[in-house]
Amino acid sequence: MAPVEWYAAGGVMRLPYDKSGVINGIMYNHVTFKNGKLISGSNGENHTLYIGEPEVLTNVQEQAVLREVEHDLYTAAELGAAEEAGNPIPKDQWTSKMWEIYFAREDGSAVYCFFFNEKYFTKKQAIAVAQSVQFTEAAFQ
Amino acid sequence: MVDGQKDQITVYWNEQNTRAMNIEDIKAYSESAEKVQELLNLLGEAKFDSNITSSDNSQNSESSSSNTGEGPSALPLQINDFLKKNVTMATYLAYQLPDGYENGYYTATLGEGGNLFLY
Repeated sequence: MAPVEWYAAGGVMRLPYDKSGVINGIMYNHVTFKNGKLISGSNGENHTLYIGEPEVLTNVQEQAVLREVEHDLYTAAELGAAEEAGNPIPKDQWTSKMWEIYFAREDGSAVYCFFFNEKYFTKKQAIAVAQSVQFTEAAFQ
Repeated sequence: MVDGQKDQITVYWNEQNTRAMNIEDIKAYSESAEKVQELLNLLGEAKFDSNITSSDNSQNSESSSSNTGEGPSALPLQINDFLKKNVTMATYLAYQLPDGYENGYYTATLGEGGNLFLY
């Protein structure tokens, strides 16, 4: 079953981050910095396709980058089972597309990912929410 | 109020979602009862673990180790870890959603925790 956030209208989540690139013994980080600038972000999940290039946002409290992403909501087996049961899932519902916006500090210990389902949010609305974000002192500690 | 909130939680789930997940699963996601019980269990275990007293009072770890054979009890660390992970997002940030949207319940299973937006 696909993660709950892939079905949702949107949301925000806190993710682990370590400048060394190692999280819980695994070499992976959700964001990439180059010369101190946040240049990309990703969730690193299977059944997920990133579309186009990352877009660095301006007029935000912390460095932020926007990505467009498509998630597979069903496996081939699930789609086949639904069809066999006489309740085929329409093709336009096989995936969900989201605007993802990652906030991070290079020396921080957390990344924040806002995600906005394109069925509910325009890109402009997603960016407006990102520009309204105010972080507390505890956010990146 | 609680029942009303449960009903509200289901609003943004469309037909596609309810086909993939049954309604009870969706409601369970928004309830905090399991997390409260998890914390109570940790506190309950701590109450009956006599080793915690020595480690909490900052007595030397050699003494604690000799009591347990495994060093100071891990339970206070577990509770501390639980409390660190189960905070509201308001601890870290605030934001404005467009009209018609609001925050759902804190959801511990989103990354290290997060909120879903409700429409």
